[in-house]
Amino acid sequence: MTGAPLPDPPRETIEELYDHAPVGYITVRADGTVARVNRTLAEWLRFAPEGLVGQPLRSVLTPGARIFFETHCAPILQVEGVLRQTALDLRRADGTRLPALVDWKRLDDADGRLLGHRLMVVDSSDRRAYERELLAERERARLAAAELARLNAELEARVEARTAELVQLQKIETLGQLTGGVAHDFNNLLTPIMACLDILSRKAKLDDRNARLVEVAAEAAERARLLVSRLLAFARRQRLEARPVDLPALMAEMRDLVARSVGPMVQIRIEVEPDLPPARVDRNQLELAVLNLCVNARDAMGGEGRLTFGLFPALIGEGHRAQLLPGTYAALAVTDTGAGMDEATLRHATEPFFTTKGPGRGTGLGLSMAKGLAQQSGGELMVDSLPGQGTTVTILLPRAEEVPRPAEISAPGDIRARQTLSVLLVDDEPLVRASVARMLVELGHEVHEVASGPEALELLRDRVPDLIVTDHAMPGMTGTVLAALAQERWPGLPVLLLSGYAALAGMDGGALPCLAKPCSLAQLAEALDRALAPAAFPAVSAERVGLGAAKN
Amino acid sequence: MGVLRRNNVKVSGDGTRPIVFAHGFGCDYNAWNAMAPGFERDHRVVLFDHVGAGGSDLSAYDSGKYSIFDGYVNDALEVMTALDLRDVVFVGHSAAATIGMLAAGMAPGLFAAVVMVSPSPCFIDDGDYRGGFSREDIEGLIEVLDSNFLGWSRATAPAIMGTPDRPELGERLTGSFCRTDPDIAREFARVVFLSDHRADVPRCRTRSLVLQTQADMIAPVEVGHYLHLHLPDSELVVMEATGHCPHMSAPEETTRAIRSFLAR
Repeated sequence: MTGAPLPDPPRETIEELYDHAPVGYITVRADGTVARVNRTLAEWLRFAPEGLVGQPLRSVLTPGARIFFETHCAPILQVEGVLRQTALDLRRADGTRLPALVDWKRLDDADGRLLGHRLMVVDSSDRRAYERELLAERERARLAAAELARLNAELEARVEARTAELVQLQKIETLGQLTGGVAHDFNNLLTPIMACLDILSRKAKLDDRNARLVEVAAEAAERARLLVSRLLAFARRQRLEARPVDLPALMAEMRDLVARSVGPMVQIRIEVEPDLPPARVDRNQLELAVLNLCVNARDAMGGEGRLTFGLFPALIGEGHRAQLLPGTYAALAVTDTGAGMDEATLRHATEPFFTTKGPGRGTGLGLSMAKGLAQQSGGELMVDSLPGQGTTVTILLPRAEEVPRPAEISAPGDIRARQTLSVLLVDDEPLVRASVARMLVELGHEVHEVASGPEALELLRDRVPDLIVTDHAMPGMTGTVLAALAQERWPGLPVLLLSGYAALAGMDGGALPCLAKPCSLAQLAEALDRALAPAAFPAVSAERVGLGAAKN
Repeated sequence: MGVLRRNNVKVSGDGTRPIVFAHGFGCDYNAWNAMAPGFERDHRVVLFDHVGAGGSDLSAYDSGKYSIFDGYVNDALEVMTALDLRDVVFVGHSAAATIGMLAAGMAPGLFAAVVMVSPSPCFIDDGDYRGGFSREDIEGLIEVLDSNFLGWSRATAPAIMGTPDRPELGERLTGSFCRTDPDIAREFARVVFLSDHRADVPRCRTRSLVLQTQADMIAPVEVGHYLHLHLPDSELVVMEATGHCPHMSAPEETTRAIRSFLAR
């Protein structure tokens, strides 16, 4: 499709081009006054062209632009004679501002003398507005970056603080391992001491003075045993006899004891919620833990106030701060009306040897022991406190599936066995083995001693004893493995495990009857009874201890 | 970082009498290229850049220190003591004239004379005092500065500036124009044009020369008279030259005026 050729724009004279070009044009004399200006620029500035001629150029610059011209443009023009794209603000006749870009060129005569300058002016209003937005955006970005840097620094500080806490936790863990190890060795030394004292007090014909001496020694040994058991509790290495415990019954029984511990000025309340499940925990250790908490509460209240035991079912879900498997737990909360703790104290409260009490008044082990017990039992201990508002220590314990039996009270008097048993005794520690052997003989049994699992198995090839009493933690073959292999050879053979501590796989479910060392004659007799009772030993399968398929 | 490196100090000349040239806002020591060599035969000529300008160490720039003139005054005194200068003739243009006046008031023992080229102790009108500008005018300057420096920031220009094989670039004024960091230029502009040092004028007892040009767009002629009136020991010379930078536009006349002042 073709049409008539488009007409050319009308021819322009040089004057028309000068006046109507879409850029401003201005000529300035050497003294800075305007010699000539085109119509485009005059219209932009809202002047008649002749109104500008003769005026100093500074009169069409804003004050800010004048400073910029004198400080930045004039020196360059002076030296180089040319200046491109300078941003300057022009002042219109009505006082308003015209943002412009100005190109400058120096005019010289034939001898190089300055005649003046030629200026080309472009309206840069839109560009300037865009620049302002850009600069504002940059400023916002700068502020955002500064804020980000601040947050980053804060985060780093927090990570640093957390790392410091972690290091502290690791220290405590190491301390725990050390303590556990030392306590265990100490336990092994206590076992023969206690056994010998026990035998001495029963057998030897002692005069009164010597009998008292033995009594004092036995008391000291008992105190040492208690201290060691606390250390083991903190190290979560104690041998726990976890059984179903009826918490309200336990608290009812303990009430007098608690009252004596905290003194007459402390009011005691026990609040029990319905549907409280029985807890699965070592009853004796729990009693000790509760007593420790009571003593702490008493000290926090200055011997005066109210101590409340709350017993309630606790439903723990995902994400609970206790970080336990979801489910229902039995909770025992001990609340005092004492001084409470600030955040810093609270953070360290369950650390071992941390105490706010004066020298000689606390070991700093009470709360850490209670926490160790809770955790080793499969529960948790939580402390809530605010300065001036008292403290609540909550022990969460796993619920027991079985119904608790009333606490058995061993009958005092003759604890000699009703029948003589042949006992195979296995322990790698000669001292401990000798003392346990003496105790077994004391109870009326026949004892065969060996020092290791393999030796015991050798004996068991041809003969079967009535019972095996074995240490657990032996080098080479542990007592648990020995039990499994022995029961494989002689199914149903009773085994009693002795242990200073046992936080070991295969021993945590109470599958084998256990006895914590050191023990008294009575405890040993009771443990033997337990081991011999048919219900007490569901067969330990070889599979469970990693020895292959179980036999029926 | 030494003072001499920080302020890009350049020393030349065969004479013993020290003459220090200090540039004003928007320039660097190259502004003295047309004048300084004329003093080398009988003076020890010292040129330096203010921190933030020219070849100075930009990393030494500290918004706190340089938010007032004192930061620059301190630097000038440090340069003089680093070179162990005594009986100094301090020639300062515009902002640096104020720097010289303040430095001489602070340490008069170091100075023989202060030459103030196109000076102003206060650019803002205040009552009867006519500095020539209002605070809004200075905000307008900042906007123009921003607009001109956009795209000339140090981040985009170092390729040109850091070329040792083309030293002439660094010697040219456009070089120093480009080498001005926009943020520093903005802060320096506020220091120069919003400060009021009128109260310090009578404290400068050093012999002073005030050089005032015709039709300075920045410093009105009244300011020259004001300074002459309030400086205890001063001479005022109103030059034939025009504009704010007579040391560049009329170096011979400026040199003559300084030499005849020093000869008196």
